[in-house]
Amino acid sequence: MSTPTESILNIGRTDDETALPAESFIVKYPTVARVVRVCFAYAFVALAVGGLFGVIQALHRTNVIRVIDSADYYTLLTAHGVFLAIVFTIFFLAGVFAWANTRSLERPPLNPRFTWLWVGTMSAGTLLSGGSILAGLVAEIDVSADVLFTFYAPLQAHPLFYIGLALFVVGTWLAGIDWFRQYLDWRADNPDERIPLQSFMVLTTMLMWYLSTLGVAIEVVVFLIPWSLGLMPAPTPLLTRTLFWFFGHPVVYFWLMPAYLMWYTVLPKLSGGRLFSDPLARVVFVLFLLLSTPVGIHHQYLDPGIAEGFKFIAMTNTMFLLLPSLLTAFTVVASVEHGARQNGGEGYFGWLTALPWRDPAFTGMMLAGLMFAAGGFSGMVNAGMNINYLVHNTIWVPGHFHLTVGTAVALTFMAAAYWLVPRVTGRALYSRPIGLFQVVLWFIGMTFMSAAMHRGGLAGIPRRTAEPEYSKFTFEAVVGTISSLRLQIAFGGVLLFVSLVIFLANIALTAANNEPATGLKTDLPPALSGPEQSPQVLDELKLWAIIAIVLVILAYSLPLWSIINGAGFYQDGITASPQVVQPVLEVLI
Amino acid sequence: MVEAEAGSETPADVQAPDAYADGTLVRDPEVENPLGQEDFDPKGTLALLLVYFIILTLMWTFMYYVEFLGNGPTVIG
Amino acid sequence: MSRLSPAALLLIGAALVPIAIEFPVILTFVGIRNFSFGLSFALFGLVFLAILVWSEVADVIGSSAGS
Repeated sequence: MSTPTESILNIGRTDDETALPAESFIVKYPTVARVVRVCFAYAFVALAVGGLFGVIQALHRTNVIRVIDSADYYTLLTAHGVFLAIVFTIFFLAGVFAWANTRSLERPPLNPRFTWLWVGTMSAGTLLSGGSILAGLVAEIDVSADVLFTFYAPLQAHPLFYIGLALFVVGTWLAGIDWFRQYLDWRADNPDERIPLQSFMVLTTMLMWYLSTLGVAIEVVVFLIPWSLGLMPAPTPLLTRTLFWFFGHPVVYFWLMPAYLMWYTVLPKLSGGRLFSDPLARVVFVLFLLLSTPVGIHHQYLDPGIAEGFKFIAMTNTMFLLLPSLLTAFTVVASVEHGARQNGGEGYFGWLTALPWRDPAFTGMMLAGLMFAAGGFSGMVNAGMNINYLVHNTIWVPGHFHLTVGTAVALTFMAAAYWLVPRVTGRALYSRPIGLFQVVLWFIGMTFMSAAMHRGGLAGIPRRTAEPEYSKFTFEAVVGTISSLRLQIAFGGVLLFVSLVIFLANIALTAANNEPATGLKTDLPPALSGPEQSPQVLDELKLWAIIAIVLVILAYSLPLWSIINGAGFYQDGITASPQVVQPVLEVLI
Repeated sequence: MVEAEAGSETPADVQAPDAYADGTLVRDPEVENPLGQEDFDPKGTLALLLVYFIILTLMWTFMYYVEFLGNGPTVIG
Repeated sequence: MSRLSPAALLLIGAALVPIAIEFPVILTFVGIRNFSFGLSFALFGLVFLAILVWSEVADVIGSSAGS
């Protein structure tokens, strides 16, 4: 993937039949293609490291093989969470969005230097945060960040970890500005056109991201960085938890939206059909912009200090969020069915056999969608206030998000890579059969691991612990035995790791493949029910952004006010400020 | 709506044109029988989603046994 | 006479895995509580074998068209 674009463009040039067509993405936008390659490279390196730590944890906590000290388990757990849930997902998103925005607006970003600026900022943030986590494994370096993916007080990390995170988020903000500038440039040329669908998806997702990252920005910049530097006292855990989850739930949709973008715009083409409805796709993305953020308190059902009523509002908003996902289930399946029927599929279920199951990109996305349907059920359980109490902080919860981010998102990204990497490298996929085996193996591995995790959670096994046993207490499984559940988790984790290694090898061999990619001439088909049938108001991004802000104010202002009034900004009722600020504050207040 | 009216004149108009202005193909050339919006009834999707909703209902029923009959009830408030 | 492709067998096998895992749970609904996980896998291994045999002897519809 690091090969210079020029040499890739020369592949097949000597032979007209196999030369990359002039309309292909890599020939039209070589700089953007390189940006996408760099983003994917970061994503896949993070995937490799995070995945390795994942299998070590699965084997450690099930007591099958222990290669690390139990004290280091939490360093690996933090790295697993941050590398996979932040670095892998968001770098892949950046690559997909850079591709989709450029492709659908038919123009590259205005200033390549600005594009490289956000790539560089995200990279610097990744190296700082990732480095400070990994330093925890080296006793000689006095730096560690074993605060887990949920980085709120009272656990404290080295300042470099928080500074790296802040840089990373600023990088994503700059990326969003880059994509909005691309859009405004397009809008100046096309004042009356509907926003192209992929660009619409990119823009609404980024608006949601700007709104939701405000929470984590305040948490990190105002509280955690000054605290870790020793300038300020420890902030109230409840306050930093609330600010974290203000961002912590919408971030799951930030992972999911690029997967949805692939399901809506690429999957119909792979199935040989067309998107069923462009208006429905727009409605779904608008709903995610509106509802992603005012739901974060549903992660805090067990937090004392937040009134039941506020939790109830968060639960109601969360249940509304099922709507866009169920709309997606309909639209995406109907689009795939359209492809099957165009290729001779018949009957109520027989059409399923007329689909291109040999294609790893197609099969991977379909299996990811299937797992997401199962994740939807465990998500409803998590979101219900009373049933949440049953599974809260048990291994059920990791079981749930390995279905959603670990499969719906990660498997879609891997499947998308099989389709997209040839388009941004100009090189043919090394092996489709191996790719098919890999995505199916991921599905099987996750079935074992996730089902056993859910069941273990119902038996009360806690999450996030290297030693999930308590003396004088034994867990009782609803079905089967706890030792069998442990073996299933370990077995599933090993299958997932094998699948991951196969994926990375296939992609690496693709990047080094000297055969030119084929099939680059066909573009994505337009929707059956096109944008001209969708209400104009859906494209009013300002209106939706304002409504989203109002909803967030409604859901969060009272809970935050009551936390600050009750527990205060700092623990034990300290009203703290740095010595230099104190005199200024006294004058002002 | 505009496209539907155009399609009522000749059903073939409902399909997209074969190529964009820049020459890229819109449709896969191997699609022999394009299916327009009017002719496509996603009954297979309906069948699959019904199966999903039946599974969901069964799972919720099972949840009742896990939550209330397997363990003691959880009290909120 | 026709046979299922390797891709089709892979997918059918994969689809049987979650069913085999959930089968003991489904049985608890009807009151059978001690159906072991290993037994369930053995059972669905046999089902897979049966599908293999059936694909050898039956004329599988659509086996050449993509699946």
